[in-house]
Amino acid sequence: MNRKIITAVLMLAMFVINSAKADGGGAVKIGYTFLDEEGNRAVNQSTYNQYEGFDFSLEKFRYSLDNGVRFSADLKRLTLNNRNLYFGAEKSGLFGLRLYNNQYRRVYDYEGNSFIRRHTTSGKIWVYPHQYVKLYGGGSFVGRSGSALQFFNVVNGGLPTAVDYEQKQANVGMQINYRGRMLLAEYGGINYLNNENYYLNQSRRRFKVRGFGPVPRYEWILMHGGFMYYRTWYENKDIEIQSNKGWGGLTVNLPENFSVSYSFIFERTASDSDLVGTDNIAHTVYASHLWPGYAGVTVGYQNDVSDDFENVVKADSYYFSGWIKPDTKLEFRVEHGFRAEKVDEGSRLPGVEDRNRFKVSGRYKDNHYGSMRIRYEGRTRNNDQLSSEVDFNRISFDGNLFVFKYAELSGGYSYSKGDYKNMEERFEFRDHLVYGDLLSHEYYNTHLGLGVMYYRSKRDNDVEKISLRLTGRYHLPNGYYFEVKYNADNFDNFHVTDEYYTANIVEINVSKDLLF
Amino acid sequence: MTPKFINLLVGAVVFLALTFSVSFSENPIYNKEELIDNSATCLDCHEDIGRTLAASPHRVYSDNELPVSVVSGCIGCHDGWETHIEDPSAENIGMPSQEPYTEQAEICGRCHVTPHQAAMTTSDPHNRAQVDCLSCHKIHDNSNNALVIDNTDNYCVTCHTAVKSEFSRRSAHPLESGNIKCMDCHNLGSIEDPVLAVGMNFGCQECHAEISGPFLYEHKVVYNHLTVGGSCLECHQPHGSPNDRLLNQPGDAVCKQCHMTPPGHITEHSGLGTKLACVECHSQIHGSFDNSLFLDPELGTKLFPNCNQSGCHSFAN
Repeated sequence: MNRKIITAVLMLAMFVINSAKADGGGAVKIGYTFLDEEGNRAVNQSTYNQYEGFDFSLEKFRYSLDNGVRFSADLKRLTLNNRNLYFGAEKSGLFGLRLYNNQYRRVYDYEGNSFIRRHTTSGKIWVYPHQYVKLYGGGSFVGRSGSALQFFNVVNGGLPTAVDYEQKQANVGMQINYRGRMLLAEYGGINYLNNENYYLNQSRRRFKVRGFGPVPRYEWILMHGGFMYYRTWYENKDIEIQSNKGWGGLTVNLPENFSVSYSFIFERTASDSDLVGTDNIAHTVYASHLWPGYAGVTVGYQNDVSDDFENVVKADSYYFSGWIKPDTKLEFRVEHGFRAEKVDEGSRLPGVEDRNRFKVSGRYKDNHYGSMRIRYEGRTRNNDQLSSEVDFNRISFDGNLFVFKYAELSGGYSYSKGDYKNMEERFEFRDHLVYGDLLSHEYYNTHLGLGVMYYRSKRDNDVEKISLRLTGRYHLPNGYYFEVKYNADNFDNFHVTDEYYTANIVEINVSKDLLF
Repeated sequence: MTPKFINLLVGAVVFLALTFSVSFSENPIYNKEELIDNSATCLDCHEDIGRTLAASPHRVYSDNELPVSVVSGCIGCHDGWETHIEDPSAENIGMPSQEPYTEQAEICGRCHVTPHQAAMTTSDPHNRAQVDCLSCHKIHDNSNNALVIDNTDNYCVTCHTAVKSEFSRRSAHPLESGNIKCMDCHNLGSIEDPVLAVGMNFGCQECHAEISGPFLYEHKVVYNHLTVGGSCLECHQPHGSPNDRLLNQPGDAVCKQCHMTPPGHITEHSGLGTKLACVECHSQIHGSFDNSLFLDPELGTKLFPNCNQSGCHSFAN
């Protein structure tokens, strides 16, 4: 099917190119990728999907006709198994089409013999038969096949398990827009077919309607609401789950830049597998005030109830956020959320639980010199009944600098600290991540690039990952480029002797800029 | 989709592209004649700026042969143009990029009335953080779909840089290789999913159907429609994790955040030589059709030969 899509896309593009006055651009790239690996193929995720071989790409292609029809495409690595393809055609207010295809490989064993390949093809199309009406539809096909090792494999003797399934999805819908009002209805379904275990074959159907618009004669009040029905069931078992979900709310824009919004959700989900039906109900209120261009503040409260008619869990959540721009180049933000759950009736294993989230950040941005940002984030979860605690903190810094005459520098550093306390044991990690890119401007027809990523996880983990990237690009006459990329990847888990990996990847490309 | 359906789809688009040349949309503030005439006046002085829109849906031309796809024109976004034409000055022309986010939303909303637009001005967290339209969309000098600032659809990480770093951890969803996009999981601009609200794990199920259930015996923490409610995120960190398989704690520790080791399990099997992890036997951990303990249905045939072959046990004892 992939070949048919690509052929259709290219034929369409050629036909249009030859049939009308137009303008556009893009780049054609031809090259070869050399891959030299050593060690355990299953441990370094960023190189799972790397392949050696001849490589052909059409990148950032765009083509516009004078009648407003626009084509775009990004066909990367057409000849390799890690291809990633996109094609689009659209005319604003009339129609649109987008097609995607990509493949991903996940490796499970030392030699790389046990792996699973997932290939995804999807598309969507929309037309406007009338200026207020949009009809749309889409679909996708996901296939996943190969063999995988289970997470722990002592029990099955370390033998890989075959995986082979496909999933088809389609949806159609209609959207009506009329002077700030919108009504949408959509129907969709998924069929899942497992060729290794037909007991898992299942189907899903989803229908939803939603709408919004200002209240007539009170245009400063905006209402929204909707309903969704969801059902999933097994083909070979009499088991299904159904969900009915309704939601709604309004936003009231008050004088002096004040606004208040309220929303609710009512969801009833019932499963006939364990004969449980649960109501999930949530009410949320937010109030905001804005000092235009200078500052803003929002406070919120949510009450939600989860009730399966035997056990009732209630939660209160509080929210605060604010931002201030004391200067056009400077911005500070803060956000805090707190959620307290309690078991109101009956019981549950996790019991009473509190969660906290806190973020604060500052950013300096100058269009000439670059930008810098520093951010702190903290999350906690406490459960006295389980003697369980989570304390996660992260501080990160990133920035871009344009100050160099010949280059642009971007990069960042992130430090994460995780402390997990369980009933019987503790788990701690301290992660350091440094990343950066230095890209030169064109100098003597040459661009140079240097990129690095260093990841270190310590305490109960002892993992190190390094990725180094070097790029050289020489500008030849007539829009041609000669490009060489070198990537070095290294992974070491110092706790497990066979979890090491090194790769050297060299890409040599010749590309040509297209201008129409 | 079948190949036949694909062919029909492509055929329909070709038909539409080549037979229709009229766009039905128009700016609700101005009629088409107003847009064309007055935008052409702008381009008498701002020809270069007009060219920056050449590859975008907002494109305008300077030769008065304006394409019918023009639905916004210069005057659709830049308020104060009447005064500016009479007295050209940087002070009297509206610049949406310098307006607060509510004003920007109003300007874009003149034409773009969509669920995305509605959510971004009501229930979406970005609205509460008062992030403006131009944080994600770039109008001039941009040929990307939907005029987003990065055509990989991962432009979220330009602000969410800390999240970006999570994708470089030991295990992560394949965002950096371009196999998934932020929007595959995050329903940006969805009115029905305010960030604090409850709901089912539809997002994870879209790709991981084989472990999504429903099961005859549910592991209740997997489904947040139950009162135990935590969902997939109780055990997994979806962006990236310092542990294998996106787990928030390694090995048995993830189980022990809720469960103690049952007394009967503390035997020789928990010793150094033969220690078995919880999911060695409880391999159906996401849910089971066979037993409420999520034990591997073929545990007997798999385990006992191993016990025998390990040299610790023989059939005789």
